[in-house]
Amino acid sequence: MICIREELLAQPESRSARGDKSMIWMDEANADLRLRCEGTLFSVREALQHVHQFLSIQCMPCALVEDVDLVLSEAMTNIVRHSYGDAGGVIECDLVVKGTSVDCRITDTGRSFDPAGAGRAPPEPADLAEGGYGWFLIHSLTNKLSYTREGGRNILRFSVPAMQAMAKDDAEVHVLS
Amino acid sequence: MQIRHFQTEDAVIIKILESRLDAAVAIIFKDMMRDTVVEDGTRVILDLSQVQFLDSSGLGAIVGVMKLLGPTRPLEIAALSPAVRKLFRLTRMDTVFRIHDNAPAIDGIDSDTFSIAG
Repeated sequence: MICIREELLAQPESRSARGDKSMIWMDEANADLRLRCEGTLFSVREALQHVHQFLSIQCMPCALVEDVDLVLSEAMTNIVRHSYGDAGGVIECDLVVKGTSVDCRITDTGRSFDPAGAGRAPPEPADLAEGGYGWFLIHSLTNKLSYTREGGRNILRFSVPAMQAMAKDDAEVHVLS
Repeated sequence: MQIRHFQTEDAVIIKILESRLDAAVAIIFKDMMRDTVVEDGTRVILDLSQVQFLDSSGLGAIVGVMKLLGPTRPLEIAALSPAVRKLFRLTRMDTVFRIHDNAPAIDGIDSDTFSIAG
């Protein structure tokens, strides 16, 4: 079950009317998205389709929308699998769109995470690994990545930049070619 | 989740009729592929032209399928969207798979469609 609710408030003055049930809002000056979903893979899938649609109408470069989608998918899948496990819970995700970058904050109340224990380097291709790419991809595609544990909550913050993602991508091509 | 199965003279073509191959459907995809019987020596071409989004779980499932098929039934991939191509490049898995720019023409070839809810 997905628990996203949305409410598009085009008028800035309507913001004061938004209550706990309004989890998505935007105005003309900037565009923010707040959503909550259950900590299950299918809820994350539905939530990210929603995010993709939301970002696509912000006139952002396709590559940036795709990078945000991928990074959120990796981070939220990790929460479902490792932070909540079978216990379940709620994932909150806040996005702030800033023209050529998207600031993200993802919160959950599951088990704490040790970034030092997560692999930053990708598995060797020849190993034919079926996992272990997630944290590497998050690192590769973000800036200002930070993890904190505050009052029983895991908070992951990062920014997905359009230009840097492209530059890193070009660098990757250069290295491989 | 739907896949379409085409048998040509020298290959089996599997077209994934799904725009997102992500963690939620990765296992389903792998199970469906496990049930696809392919003779030794026959290569399998995975047509990803409909897949607009692939995450590392989806990629892991494709790698898993490659391992399931084994060395006598090589897995090749075709028609990658820009986002999917980028994931293969970032993870360097583009060095492992034979990648075709375009999916093989399948007009007029009989096909079977398999579906699993989810």
